[in-house]
Amino acid sequence: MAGKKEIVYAVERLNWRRSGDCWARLPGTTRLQSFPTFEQAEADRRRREAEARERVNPFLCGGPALSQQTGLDEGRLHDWLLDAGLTPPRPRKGRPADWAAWWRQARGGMTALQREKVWEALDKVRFFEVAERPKRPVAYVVVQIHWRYNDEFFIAEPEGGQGDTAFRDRQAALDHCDECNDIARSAWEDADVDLAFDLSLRRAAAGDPLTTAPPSYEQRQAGLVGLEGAAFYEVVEVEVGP
Amino acid sequence: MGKTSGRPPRPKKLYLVQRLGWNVWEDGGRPVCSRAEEDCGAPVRAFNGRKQAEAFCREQERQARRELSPFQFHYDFAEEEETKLIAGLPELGLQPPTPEEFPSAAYEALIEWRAWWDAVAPGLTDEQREGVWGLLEDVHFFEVVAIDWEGNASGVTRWKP
Repeated sequence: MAGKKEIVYAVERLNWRRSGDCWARLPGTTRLQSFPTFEQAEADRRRREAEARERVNPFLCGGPALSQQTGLDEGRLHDWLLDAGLTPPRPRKGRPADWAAWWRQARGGMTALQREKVWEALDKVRFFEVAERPKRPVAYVVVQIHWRYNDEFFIAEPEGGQGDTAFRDRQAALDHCDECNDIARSAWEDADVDLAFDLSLRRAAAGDPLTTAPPSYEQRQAGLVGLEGAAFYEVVEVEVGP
Repeated sequence: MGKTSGRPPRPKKLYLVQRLGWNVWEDGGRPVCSRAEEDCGAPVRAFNGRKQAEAFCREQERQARRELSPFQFHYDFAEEEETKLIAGLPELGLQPPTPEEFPSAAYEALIEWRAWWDAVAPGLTDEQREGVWGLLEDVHFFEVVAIDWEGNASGVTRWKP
């Protein structure tokens, strides 16, 4: 029947970012994979969620307040954990209970079911979701990456860039991107500063933040690239339509 | 009336909804986010019509405000702004916090707004939540950018939601 849209089920990663011991939730999601049925997508989401839960301390997500992690107040969380056969942490010397330290210490001794019960209570800490989406056409957008200078080296913006031109054909977009990069490199050759470029934050943002820690300043310095290794334009695939 | 080609006219502009990029830092055990104004962000979806793009942009913005703490993105106040925030809270039916209740770790005479939000957020209505965002200096997460399809004259236009 004409007009009927084909539906896919997309597994998307919520936009969590790590800094030091903290995890911050940022707006938006990143699509990882699409499936023809909800059941397949949900199975994939569960697998990814279970892997993430092995790596992340949920009490570091969003900050130290329990309200960032659960809809339960502290008393009800306390009772929930007692019901699960766990001993919750207590406030010490007038300071609130250190839930993150409790998780670090107690997690190893929990059964799989107890861990699952804790995560069930922490309903605000989720890393993946399944979204029902119509299949949409895509465009290939050449974006110009913004670089800023920190008096030592140039730093690429963490994601995306200034949209330049849209293409329906991927190869045409890649060709235009190469051309733009060549022109940009020629222009940068005349710059009156040492040309050292840091792409590491951008690479970290493009990767999986749940498996890869953001680079330290020392790692960033060690990973600096010259003009030939830097990118000034990239091609981004984006869905078109409501 | 002359015959027209069967192929629909190609739209001249593509309207990109972009998610703005943020840098994440840790401050006193809490994450805080800042951004370089010149950074653009990642394309989320594109539309052939501007109105559709703006509507999608507004919905994304509303969803972000429903789910996230404004003080994760807005943590360093000018005095006038804090005064405006404190003055505006009663109109939303909220009791303004005091430094005694929520002292800043850096300076006890200041209010730790992130801790205040963490304490009150679970009980806020959608209107109160939106109202607090509205009392703060404009923080937005998405924008619409119009770019050219291949073959059209160049030019980029940006809109905030």
